[in-house]
Amino acid sequence: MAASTDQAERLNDDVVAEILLRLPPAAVLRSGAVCRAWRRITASPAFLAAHARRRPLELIIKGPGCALSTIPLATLGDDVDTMRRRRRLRLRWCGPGGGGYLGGLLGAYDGLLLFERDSGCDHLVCNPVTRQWALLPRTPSLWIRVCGLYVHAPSAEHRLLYLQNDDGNVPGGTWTATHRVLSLGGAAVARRIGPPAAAIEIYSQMPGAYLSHRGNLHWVRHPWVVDTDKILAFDPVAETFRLIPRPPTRDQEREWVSLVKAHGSLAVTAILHGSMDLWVLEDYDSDDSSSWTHRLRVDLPSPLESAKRAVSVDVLGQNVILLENEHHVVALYSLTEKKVLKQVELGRDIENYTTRSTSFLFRDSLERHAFFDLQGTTS
Amino acid sequence: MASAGSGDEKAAAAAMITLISSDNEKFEVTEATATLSQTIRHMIEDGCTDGGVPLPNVTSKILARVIEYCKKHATAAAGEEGSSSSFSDAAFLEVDRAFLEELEEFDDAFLEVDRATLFDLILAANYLDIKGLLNLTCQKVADSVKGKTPEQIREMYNIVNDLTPEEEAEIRRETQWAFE
Repeated sequence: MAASTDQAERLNDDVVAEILLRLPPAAVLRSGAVCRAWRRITASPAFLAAHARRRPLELIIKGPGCALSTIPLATLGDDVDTMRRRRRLRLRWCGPGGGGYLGGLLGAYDGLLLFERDSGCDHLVCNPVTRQWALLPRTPSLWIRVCGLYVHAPSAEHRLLYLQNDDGNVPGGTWTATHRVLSLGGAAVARRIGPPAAAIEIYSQMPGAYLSHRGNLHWVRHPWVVDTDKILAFDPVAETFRLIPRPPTRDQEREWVSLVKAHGSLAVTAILHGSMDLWVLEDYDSDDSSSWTHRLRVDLPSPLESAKRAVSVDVLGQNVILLENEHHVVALYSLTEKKVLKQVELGRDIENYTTRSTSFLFRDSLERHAFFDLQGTTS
Repeated sequence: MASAGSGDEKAAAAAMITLISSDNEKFEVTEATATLSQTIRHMIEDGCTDGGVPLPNVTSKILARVIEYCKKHATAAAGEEGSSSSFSDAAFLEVDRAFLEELEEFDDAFLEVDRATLFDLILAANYLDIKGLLNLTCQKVADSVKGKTPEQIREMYNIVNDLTPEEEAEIRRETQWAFE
């Protein structure tokens, strides 16, 4: 054992990594300029992945205006401190056509944000922590509808799944559209996948956020399953789609249905006038709607009676979901304990009632992606 | 001989393990205390603890401190077992808030050591695989590094800058905002 001195050189790489893992992102980058050993440690993909996993899960909130901020979920509390601790995301796009209006946030995938610009003509991926941007190649089609960004596990490649209109324009305001997959950082050409085009209404049928479970992506809101009793599942490795029956909920017309994870399984919350049912899919591989079991019916406590959609936050604890009411109150709700664990009213601090939740979750990541290196960074 | 926990009636009834420091000092501890170390837990599971566990990487001065930490935390660990989520922990927290506050005070006081000792504790916690202690000690160093510039970090921890000026400039240029 080396002599007891206060020389940091006594610490081996494993131990230095343990220390640096506990730093916020900017401090990690600064420590990379201390010496060769620290540079080697902080630049390694394994370290960056581990660092990202340790970062707290945050909720992206919007406002005032289009400004995006995050608030950490684990320390969410019904006090003004939560709002004071919010962190503004740095989103200055200076690439081609730069400085222009940045449209809607379409999704958040760990540390990456996906935006559209100019009403969906352009799509941009951004890491607000490293301030890197990538402008995705424009498609020759009239429109696309993004279904989600995901990691293709075998290649560790980030891919974008979207619906693109085909040539045929079906009379009556509907279009035929097919799924396509674009590899970020790979060939700029998207591949057409899945069954042939189906007629969809593009304006009223936007794909919602997907729920990832067993390596597959699931949508309850997707043009393919609108007005049906199905959930759409996509296997990113086999690139096949599957329709899973929905649970036999009370009133498909009027209730609000969301996909969540509960009891380790794919689950559905169905909210009708402040009363929430939880259905759990017992046998994932079954195509029989009797595989769903009704696990819970609760009356949501005030002020969450007006909540509609649930977001899965099972990383914060098994069977925990995020609920939001119409007046921008956000709450973490435990399906096991049947109670609100924490809640906060957004915009409560500074006469700012225009702050709302995006329902998207985020965590800092310094992980490097080849698709950013092709495009560079912005200051 | 420095003995740990032998006066405790409950501990006397439990299985005892002998730990031997690099300077050949013997420490007798309960199995519950010793198994906070995953390294020692594996040794016990493999039945390799007869005649004591030699720890050639840990001096008696540091081992005494490590045992002090483990004794205090062994009780807490017993309470945390069986809780699967962070929110169950929060419920547990309410039940035994006083004890956890005491534990926090203990940890704060425990960390009031010079830097050389802190490094020794980190190396021991890493070698013995004691998660809580590694977390506590590493966080202490991380907190001291957090707001500092590379120059300040080097000075504080006597680190020689072996990057060439070109390399350092390149690193700064890559993520200039982090240095502002």
